[in-house]
Amino acid sequence: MYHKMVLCVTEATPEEVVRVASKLCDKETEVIVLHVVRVLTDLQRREAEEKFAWVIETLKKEGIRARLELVESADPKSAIVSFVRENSADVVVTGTIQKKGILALVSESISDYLIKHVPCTLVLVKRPD
Amino acid sequence: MHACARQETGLNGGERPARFFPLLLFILAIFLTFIHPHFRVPFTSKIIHIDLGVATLICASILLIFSGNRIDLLQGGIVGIENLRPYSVIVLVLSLSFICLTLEYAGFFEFVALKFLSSAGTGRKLFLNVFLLSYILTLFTNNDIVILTLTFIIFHICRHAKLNPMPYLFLQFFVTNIAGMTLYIGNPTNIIVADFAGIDFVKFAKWMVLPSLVSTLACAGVVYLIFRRQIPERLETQAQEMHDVETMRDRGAAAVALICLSLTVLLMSLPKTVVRIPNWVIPLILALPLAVYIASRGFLLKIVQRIPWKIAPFLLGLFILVEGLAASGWTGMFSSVLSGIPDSGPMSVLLPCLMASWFSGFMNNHPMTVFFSRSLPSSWRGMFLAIIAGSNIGPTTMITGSLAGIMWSEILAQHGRAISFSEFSKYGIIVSTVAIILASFIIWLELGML
Repeated sequence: MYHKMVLCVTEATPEEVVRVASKLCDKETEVIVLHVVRVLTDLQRREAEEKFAWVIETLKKEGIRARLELVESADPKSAIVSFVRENSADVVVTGTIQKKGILALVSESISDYLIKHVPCTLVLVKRPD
Repeated sequence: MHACARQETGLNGGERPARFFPLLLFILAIFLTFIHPHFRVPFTSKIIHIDLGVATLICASILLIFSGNRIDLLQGGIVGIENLRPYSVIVLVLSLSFICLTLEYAGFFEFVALKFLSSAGTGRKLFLNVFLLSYILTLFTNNDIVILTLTFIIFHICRHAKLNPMPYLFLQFFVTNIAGMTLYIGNPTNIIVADFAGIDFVKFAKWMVLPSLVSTLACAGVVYLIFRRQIPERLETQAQEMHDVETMRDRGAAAVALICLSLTVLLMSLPKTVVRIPNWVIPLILALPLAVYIASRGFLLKIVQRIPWKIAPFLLGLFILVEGLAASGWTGMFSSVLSGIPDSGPMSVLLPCLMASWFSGFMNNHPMTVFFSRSLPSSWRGMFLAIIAGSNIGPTTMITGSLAGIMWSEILAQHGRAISFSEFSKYGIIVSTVAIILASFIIWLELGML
């Protein structure tokens, strides 16, 4: 099992992602629930704590140590990679949204970027169609 | 019909491969800007990301290497072409971004948006407030930053009021883009076109304030008609009750940045006989005391890291590539096409505006602007004004029209509100068509009167 997990969350993160993350943990695993915001004002902090309380609660119910970390950056992709490196995490779990059509061609999703740059195990969770 | 007057320093017309080479590189640069691929460096684990900052520069370097030591292309791309000085555009864009980013980081935009939007008691009032706020903030600041800040605030307010945020999100995105055409500093594309055509700050505002105002009002009207059933009479939760009084993160920094921005607008609008320094130097000089101030507050580095530095190599590469197109006769050929547009009547403005808007969607508004501007003689004022309008309205036609649009769609997806290209265009084509027709008609009227 893993020692330190970074669980990336956004407002679109479905329950499946948290469920998969919890299955990868044992009692020794520390989960850092990571959310990147562009500007970390009091409002953004309060809003994020409120919005992601369910993630922390779900993990704590499973007996897993979890805490929310907010990182301020205008570039969420590289902020996640830097955070993972700085915290020496051994696994990153994140949801992935399947984009279709022209937008899939022109926009690089966070999960695409993480596949190329994250230095540890990466688990991508796709919501069932 | 327009007389095609520009002289091109073309390559030998018979050298067809050489003639197509700059065009292929230009297309490749646009393609790479959109696709931004990753490449692994052979025999290493290093991955290179061909992003906005690298794509055009790589293609421009290939052009320079294989075009037989054409120093004039490099010179044209960096030092200038006619009235335009590419380095001055870049300095102006970066220093204005620095001031606007300080305002954002200090919490100014969030503070103003919350104060303004939370006073709405009905869905209609919220709609009106989003419109006014988007329009006013975009007038003097960077529309990309306004879009990013307002998107978060709209999600916040709609979540608490249990509203569908989409009508308000579309409204703010359309309004901020179209309102960007109002002032010279509203969009980098305005600066490029205005410098090419020799239109100064005051003249720019004189031409563009009315078309911008009318087309943004019409845009708001169209968005309202499209989404009227999703805009409730009463809000479930009074927005005002949603939060206590929010304070700005750094009032001092916000105040200094606001003073710098106001002085920039004021000094640019004064006659050149009074202010004897070029426009691009004004925000640069004003950004210096601001930099000293925010260094004393401890967040200079954060702002410096957020400056869109990649726009510098991106624009430089574009200018060099378009010089290559000019040298191989492509801009001249396009100029001949444009010369087929009637030189009087509403169509003289409507057609180039429509073309500029649609080309922005296909190739992004920056490459479109540099290419279109380089193809016109500076005497074609109506067409230049049409290109300014088209480059700002273009990103509302197709989401690929500006990089901010692509970024906006990513933020929406992260909030669980993913939109597709076709869904965006379904609304965007209606809104932009109305905006293009009105803006062009008013510009045409102004050309007859002013």
